[in-house]
Amino acid sequence: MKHSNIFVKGSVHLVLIILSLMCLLPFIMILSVSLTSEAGIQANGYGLIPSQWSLEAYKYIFRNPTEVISAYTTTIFVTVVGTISSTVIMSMMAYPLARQDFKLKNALSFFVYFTMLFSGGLVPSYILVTKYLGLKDNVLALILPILISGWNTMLLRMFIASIPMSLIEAANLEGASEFRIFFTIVFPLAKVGIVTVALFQVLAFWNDWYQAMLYIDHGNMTTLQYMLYRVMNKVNLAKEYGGMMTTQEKLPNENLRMALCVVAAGPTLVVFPFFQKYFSKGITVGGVKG
Amino acid sequence: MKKKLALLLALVMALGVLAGCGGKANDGEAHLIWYARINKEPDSAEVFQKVSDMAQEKIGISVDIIALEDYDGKMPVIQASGEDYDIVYTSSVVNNIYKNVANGNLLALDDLLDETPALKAVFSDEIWDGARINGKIYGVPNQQIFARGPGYLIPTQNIKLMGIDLSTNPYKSLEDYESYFKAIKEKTGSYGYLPHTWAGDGPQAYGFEQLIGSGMPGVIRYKSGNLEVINQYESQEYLDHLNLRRRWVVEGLTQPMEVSVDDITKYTRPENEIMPWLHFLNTCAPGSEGTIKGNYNVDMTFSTKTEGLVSSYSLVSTMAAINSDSRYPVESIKFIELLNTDKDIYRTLTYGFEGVHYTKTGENSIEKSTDNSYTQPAWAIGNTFNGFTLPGQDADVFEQTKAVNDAAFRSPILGFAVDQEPIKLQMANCSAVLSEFGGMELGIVDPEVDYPRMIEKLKVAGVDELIANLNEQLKAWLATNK
Repeated sequence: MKHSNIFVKGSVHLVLIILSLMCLLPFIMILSVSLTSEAGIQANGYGLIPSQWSLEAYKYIFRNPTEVISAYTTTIFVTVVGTISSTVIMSMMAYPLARQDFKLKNALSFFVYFTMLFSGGLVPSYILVTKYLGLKDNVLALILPILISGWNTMLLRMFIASIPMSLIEAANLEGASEFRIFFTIVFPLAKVGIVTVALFQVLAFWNDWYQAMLYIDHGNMTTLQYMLYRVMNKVNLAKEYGGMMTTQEKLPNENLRMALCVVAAGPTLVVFPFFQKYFSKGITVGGVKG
Repeated sequence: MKKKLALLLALVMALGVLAGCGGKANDGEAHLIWYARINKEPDSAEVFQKVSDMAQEKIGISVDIIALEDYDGKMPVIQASGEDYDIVYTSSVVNNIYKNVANGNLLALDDLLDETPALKAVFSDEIWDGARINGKIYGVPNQQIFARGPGYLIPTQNIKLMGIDLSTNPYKSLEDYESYFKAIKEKTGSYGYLPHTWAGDGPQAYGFEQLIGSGMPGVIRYKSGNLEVINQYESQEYLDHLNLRRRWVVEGLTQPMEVSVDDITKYTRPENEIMPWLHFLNTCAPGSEGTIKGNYNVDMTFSTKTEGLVSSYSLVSTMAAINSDSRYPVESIKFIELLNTDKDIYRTLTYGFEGVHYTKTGENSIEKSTDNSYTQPAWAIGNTFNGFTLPGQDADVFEQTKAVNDAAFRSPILGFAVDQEPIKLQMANCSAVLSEFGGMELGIVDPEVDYPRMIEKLKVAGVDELIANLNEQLKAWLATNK
């Protein structure tokens, strides 16, 4: 009896260990390759432990620290401001859409839903942002175009709809204003959903390089992702035209790719555990409701 | 509640007012906008400002240089949205010039060039004519190596160790290297490495000019006088090449697995040992040995150089062009002229500031600073002959390049540009098929089996329609141009 118990436990653990290794190994591999010298990669290929330790890839990325620091600053600013404002605005939109007694509920829901299926397209958005809003080279151009997501708004609506209407009616009878009902009753009760959506928005803002590519021409206001994208682009360009023109600079390559991965993904790895508790809950609740 | 709403409204309105201020005041002075295909470097803002100031001083035109690295990602949006810009980079690859011409994005420069004689004098009429598309000049080529000719290099240490006498020119074509690989096998007991495949500019060694880019079906035999487009993959030369490579692998003369050019570092040997390698370059530019030395730290010597060929494809490979909606076409061409004729301005933009980004080692040669990196692709900016030479390059590398350009064979269809729009689908299909059979060109797969399969797959992919369309286009061009 005891033996079979150990056996069952052991095999469950074994399966779980294998599964977690399958998740962990690629990360370790990325870290290891990023710390291997280019020559070591060429001679021995990828390995879990660097064959020749080297910081050349990181040196290349951080060769100009002011650029990296300003990219981090921009990205963190955009992520923090963008996430907070987009979560607040989206939940304020989702709340009335979830209220059964709101007359325009369906009409407004359709407006949100419509943007999930159709968009104006790239060129009209570009014209709107640069010509009508005049946001070229403005940090708002990194936030506004991806501020509201129709999908996340609908997700929030479902969370808020699960709050009993009687709670809201009771608060109303007690004389609470709509704003007070929203911020002191609805917001805390929908916390799971709001945190889930906030995480989605954190990732969206953190990983976005496209807005920076489109709307930032001058100055150092580039985001981290776009900076890394440019570094990689440059290495490829130098290789592509290497035979045509003399490039005397020696550029790292394979290890650089992985080092970029580490630099770009690192901070989100740190942030993720804080959201995790809510995140798994949020996914299940959303799944059941949907 | 109402107060807050009013505040929000006020905010929105303020934003609208701000947007209204976006327009530039037109004070009558030309301020150009140039989307350059160059890098955003830590100090690029200062360098770009300096270049603009220099242009202001020299010709009274200031310019806003915008470094655009993801050119194909952003330029189509800028063009489609009708945004204001003046000068643009265009080429046969990035920001495709044929597509641009078809869409009417570019200004024809023929009349404008009369206002800038110095710019016109940078190239001979023959080069200008070669760069024409549908009979008109749409871009100013960036002066560089135009003559494309493939070549082979052998490691310098092998010359002495193997007793090779290059003065007799023993290696005229690839077949002649059989003795080279045999000697390597005899002396080291191992095979040699030959990473080159037929694609790239290899076909030119067999007298083919490729019409639509490297490795794609569709060539003419440019020296034969017969200007018919054929599928080079069905040619006897191609089959011979495959059989030769296969035989070498079977006989153990070359490597039986895939290698790429970058693997060269694995096979470098000390000075007193034979290095089992034969290097291939698709463009033998003067100073190529220095480039290889810089990239891989191996000394190489040219053993075969194919005569260079100047084709339209190489002429339109990097160009400066003007937006057809530009408000300042004349000023734009004047600035392009300055960029191509004035050494100070070209060198500032390409290399940065003296003492900060580089130090001079001679009147025309520099060494780059390792602390303050400022790296720009010289060929994307303008006349590369006005640049500095870098360590490892001959002092007269630009004269040598010019001589190579001048001496190169002129394609009989110089000035013919293929419209790729109607054959896009076939091109994509063929390219997918060809990538599948890459191993055959290294000799590691038996052509007996795979060659007929490849030909068959190419037919399914529409290679015949592709060739027929190219022939049609070429005939139409010949009818009006010869």
